[in-house]
Amino acid sequence: MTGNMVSLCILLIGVRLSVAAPESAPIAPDTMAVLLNDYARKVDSLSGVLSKWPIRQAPPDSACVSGADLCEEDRGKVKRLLSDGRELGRYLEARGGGSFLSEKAYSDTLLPRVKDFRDRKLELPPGVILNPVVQAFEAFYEKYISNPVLNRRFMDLTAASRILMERKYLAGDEGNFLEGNLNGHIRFTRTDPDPTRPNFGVSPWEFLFRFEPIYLARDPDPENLGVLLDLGLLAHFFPKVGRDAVVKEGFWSECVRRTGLKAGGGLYGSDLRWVAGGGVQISALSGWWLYDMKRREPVFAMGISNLALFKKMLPFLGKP
Amino acid sequence: MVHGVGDQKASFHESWKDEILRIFPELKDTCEFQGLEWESARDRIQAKYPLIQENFSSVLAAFNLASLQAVLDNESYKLVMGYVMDVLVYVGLPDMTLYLQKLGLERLDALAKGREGETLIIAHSLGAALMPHVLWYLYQFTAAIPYHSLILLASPLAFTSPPLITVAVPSMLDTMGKLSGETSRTKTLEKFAKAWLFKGANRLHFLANDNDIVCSDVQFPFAGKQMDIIPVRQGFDDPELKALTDNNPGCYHPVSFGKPQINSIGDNHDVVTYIRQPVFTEIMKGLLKA
Repeated sequence: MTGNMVSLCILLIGVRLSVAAPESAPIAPDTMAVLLNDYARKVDSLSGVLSKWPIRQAPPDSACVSGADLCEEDRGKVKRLLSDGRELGRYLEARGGGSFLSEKAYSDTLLPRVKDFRDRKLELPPGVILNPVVQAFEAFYEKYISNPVLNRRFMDLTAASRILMERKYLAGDEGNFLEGNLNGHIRFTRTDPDPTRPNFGVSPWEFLFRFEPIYLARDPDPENLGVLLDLGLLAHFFPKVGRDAVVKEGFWSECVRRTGLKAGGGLYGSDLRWVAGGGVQISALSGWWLYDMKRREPVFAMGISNLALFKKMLPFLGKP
Repeated sequence: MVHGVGDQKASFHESWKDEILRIFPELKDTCEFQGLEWESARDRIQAKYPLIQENFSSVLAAFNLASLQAVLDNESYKLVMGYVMDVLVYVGLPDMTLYLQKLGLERLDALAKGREGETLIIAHSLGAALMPHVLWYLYQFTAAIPYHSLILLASPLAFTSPPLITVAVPSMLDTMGKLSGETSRTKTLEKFAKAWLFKGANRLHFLANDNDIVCSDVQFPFAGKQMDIIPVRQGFDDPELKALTDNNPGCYHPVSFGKPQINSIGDNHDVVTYIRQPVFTEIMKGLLKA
């Protein structure tokens, strides 16, 4: 490396994300126990109604389509629906109501049951879905199970996931459409829609493919300004996000935020000289080890991925 | 109320509200009208991932947009390009699509304030693709839709993606299907329609103007002949309509207003005109009784 080192200004970017007001605090276990008991009685009562529901006899050699009266086969499906719904209630009762279920229990045991239940619901024919027993069950399921327990848990996880996605993608630096498209397709970098996955489904990895302004570490001279086309991989350090989207920053998430390795090539100066090499990024700043092809010598350079910040630094780099 | 493409102010829903109150003045004291604004989030995404038109001419060419420039006046062309960029931001950046869905879900939840069962959602244009996506996402993890009903005006949900770029820029229904691991468009619509049927009859409604380029394969006079200037399918085909209407009878309502002319694109898509359609009034009457 030659020339004077540009003194680097390490920018500590501390973003305190707002704490979401807990408008939807988890329901206390004893309240939930009362609700689930109510749910159980109502579903059991529906089972009684179902057992007396008129049965439509199918004509010989033809399928029966349930109408106001249910075919035997469809009554079996509704019976199964009530039984599955009842089972979900029992599962939650046995675990103190479900609002304070551990993350592991929620994702490994409750959620698979909910998904199976969902898929079986959607197998019901439309006519059966409109049957009053099914409609009444749906209302109970929403009131006692999905709204107070499942919705709230999913909304918490969704909020946490959204916060981390903003931290990863919308923190101030500028990418481009191609980079955004690739990050959403590459398995390693894309977000998993399931927020029960690690980091609420948000991958800490980000692929970079973008232009970056650089300043070569030589004499302060606007001729040392240039631009590189980068290819790289960043690792983001995420804060911890708890229930109700409460964010807890650590040193790495608050001060470092992200780091990664890059390779790039580009031009500098008014006579467009080529440089190429590798670099390391920490937060919004990069240190580059480049080879100046005209001067045939290595050179250190500083890059910055936040263009708004770069524009503010231009007067210090000799550019108006 | 959920807006779609274009520049939307935070008070965008006031014109919708005014029109609904003109038809149903009794709602003034009994209903709360809220707007779900999400343009600011799209703007943030566009700032992060600018779409430089010249560099993505192949994408634009796939949608036949370059030829539009020859026939539209400058203002109309800018309007259409603005719409297209909004749509490309939503479907062309998969992680940002998911981000907008999560944000949309949170904002919807915040607006409903615990009264989901009494909340009617009216969505227009790109908002009428966002809302099905958002509610379908929620459904995967809860097996229920908590909201009262959904009216989709000029939904671009049927839009297919040009074959050459479908991997990079999936269609709205493909995006929705991915949330449930479903690859078939008709199956996705069938399941979505059924999920709403659990709420009761007539809780889900699509309104599509047959002159609206966003949701219909309308043909305009162009270069001396009638043609659909966007070379992908914009409206539901027959199997897709069947999937919807068999599994949620009466949910699809074709309407007709405006003119099949290129310079009427904006008017044919206008949300207030959709609200003025007689079928909208009938739908609302039914929902207010439910």
